[in-house]
Order: sequence, then structure tokens, then C-alpha cells
Amino acid sequence: MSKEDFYTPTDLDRLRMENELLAFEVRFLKARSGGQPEIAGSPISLSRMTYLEEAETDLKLLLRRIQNSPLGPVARTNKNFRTLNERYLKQPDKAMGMSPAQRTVYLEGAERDLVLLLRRLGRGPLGVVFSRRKSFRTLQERYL
Amino acid sequence: MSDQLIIAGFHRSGTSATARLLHRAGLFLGYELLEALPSNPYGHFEDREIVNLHTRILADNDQTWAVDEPLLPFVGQQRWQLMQRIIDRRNSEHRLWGFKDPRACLFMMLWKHLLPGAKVLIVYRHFSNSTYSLGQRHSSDMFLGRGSAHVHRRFWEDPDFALRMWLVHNNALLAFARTFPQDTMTISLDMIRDGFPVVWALNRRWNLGLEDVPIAEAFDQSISMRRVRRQPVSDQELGEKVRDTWRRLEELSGQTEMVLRKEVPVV
Repeated sequence: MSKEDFYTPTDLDRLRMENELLAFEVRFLKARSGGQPEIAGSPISLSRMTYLEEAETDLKLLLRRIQNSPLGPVARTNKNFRTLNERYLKQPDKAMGMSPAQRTVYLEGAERDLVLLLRRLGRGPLGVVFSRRKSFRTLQERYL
Repeated sequence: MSDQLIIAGFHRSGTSATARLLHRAGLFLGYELLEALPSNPYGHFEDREIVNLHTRILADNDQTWAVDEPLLPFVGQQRWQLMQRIIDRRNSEHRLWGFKDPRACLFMMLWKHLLPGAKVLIVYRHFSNSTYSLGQRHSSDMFLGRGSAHVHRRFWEDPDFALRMWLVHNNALLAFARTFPQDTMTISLDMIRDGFPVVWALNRRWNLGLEDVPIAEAFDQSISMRRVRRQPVSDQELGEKVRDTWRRLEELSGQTEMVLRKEVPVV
């Protein structure tokens, strides 16, 4: 075997960019072939990931709205509400630094928390009041 | 007497979705809007005349849309005259008008010179997601053989190219916001996604008379994809600069939220 059969990659930037382009190519080809492109490093489809990200966004929106509403001071006395607040509103960039697998777990947790929160709000003493809101009913239809 | 509202933000930062929302709310954005593309399925909401003008000014300065270093544009007499004609026609025909073009980030001072009363809505997005989305668009175009392969390939041949572009455009916006704080409102794409009432806030601040449109009607959450991994960077110094610019943008949008928080309608 001659020496020319080998090549030692030395340019890390070039390798990194080639790798990134290849990842885009895989994603592109999978989408084109009609298959569900998977998120790199995560066994989850792009559509499922999009759904989970929407659930996370809806959960943040709901928490913010509760916090800014007249119910805010009462809600803040609830430990579960404070935990959700801490987890999803006070550390917004935390999820960005996660590995794909960690992020998936985080987003699935957000979806579960949203379902739980919607159930509790719907069944609580103010359930009737919430159910009058179109935005709340939309969330119930989407996630419950 | 006309009011003007310019929507300014880097490529792939949610400016099209924002423009779509404001267009629905009654903001006139141009006589000939560019058609939709797969990368922007709802359309760009960019006026051909304004985009052509910006493209020509860039070409006069030996640049394309992909500016990745600070630009102090030279503007010839002919271009000034065209800008003035664009303004005169819109001022005479519309009570409220504006435009959206990511290239405008680099020309905000020029427009402000001719339109001293113009208001500017700055829309920004996290560098990681903007650059990832840019990569997605150009890789798809390259694989499909659409447009110039040379332009597309640059994103994978020139380290940190997209990140430098993000920095240059957003720094230009920050400079503008510092100079004209009273005429600038800064919001992030995440704020819009989280339900920040943009139209309501614009009306509240500048009394523009826009019609309130529910964000969900005009804003498709699924079009704003995110980078799954962390942002790669070759030049660590560039990384620091980008982080600093991001922090300053976040401060500005924090001010927008703070001023309006007390008055934002609740659920």
C-alpha cells in the first residue's frame, strides 16, 4: 500500500463545515424521499420535534399570562407553579446548550407539564372561567 | 401627512413573518411584493423596488446581499434620487407605509436621513438559529441546483461566514437604535412566538392605527426551526463579539417588554 492511499485531515474548520453540509444533505435527502428526517443525534422525527417545541412555547406563554394576570400573586404562592416558572421561564437559554437527547427529554417534559397544568386549571375552581377563553379552549383541544 | 414603519432584521430572523402580521394589520409594504419561495412559504413581503434599490447600492460598493464586514456605503446621486422618488410616491398615496428587507439593516441611517419621522421595528433572532436556518436554506438551494452554487458553497468554505453576517447586520441595527432610541422598538422572534402583542405595542407606542391581528393567525410556529446543537465557531474572538451583540439586543428587547409589561392584556 503506498503512502498516497492515506490522507491525514488537519484542517478542523474544513472538516467541521463538511460535516455540517453532510448533515444538511442527509436531512434534505430524507425529506425528499418522503421519509421523516430525524433530528441529528436524536431518535425523534422532525415533525414530532416541532410539535414538542410548540408545546414548550405554549407552556411558556401560558405561564407568562398567568403570571401577568390578576391571578399571578396567588399562583406564585403555589409551589408547583413556582417550579414550572423556574424551569421554563427563568432559564430560557438552558435548553440551547443541551445535547439532542437531553433536549428531547426536556421537551417531552414540557409537553407533560403543559398537559398537567391544563388539566389542573380546567378542573380547578376557576375552570369555568378559563374555559370561557378561546385561547384556553384551543390549548385544551390541542393537548388534552 | 404619512407615517412610516420600517421592519429591519437580519436574514432568517422572522422579519417575513412579522411583515406578514403587520401587512394583515394594514401596513402598506409595497406595490410589487416578491413571490413566496420554499424557504419562505408565506412570502417575503419585500417590495421589488426597494430590494432592487438596496441591491444596486450594494453593487455600487462591490458587495452582494451577503455582507460580512462593516459597511459604510457610498451612495451616488442617482440612488438618492430614486430613494426620494420611492418616498414621495408612497407618502402621497398612503397614510401609513413601510417596507421590509434584511438588506435595509445596512442602510437605516440613509432612510432616516430622508425620513426623519420614520419608526423602526427591529426584529432579531438568536445567532445560532438564524445561521442554522441560513445554512438550511442555502444547502437546499445548492442540492436543488437553484441559484449560484458559488454563493451557496461559501457558507461551507469560509469559516464563520454566516456568523459574521449576523454580527454585521445586528451591529448596524444596534448603532441605529442607540442613535434613535425614541424611534426604535426592538423585539426578538422568541417574544413574538411567546405571544408578545406586537401590533398592540406598536399602536400603543406610536399611535399608528394598525388593526389588531391575533399573532396565531399570521404566525406559523413551525416555520422557525432551531439548531439542535451548540453554535460552532472557528474564531473565538468572533464568538465573544457575537455574544456581546446578543446581550445588547436582549437588553433592548427587555426594555420593550418592561415598558409595556404593565399594560399588556392578560389571558
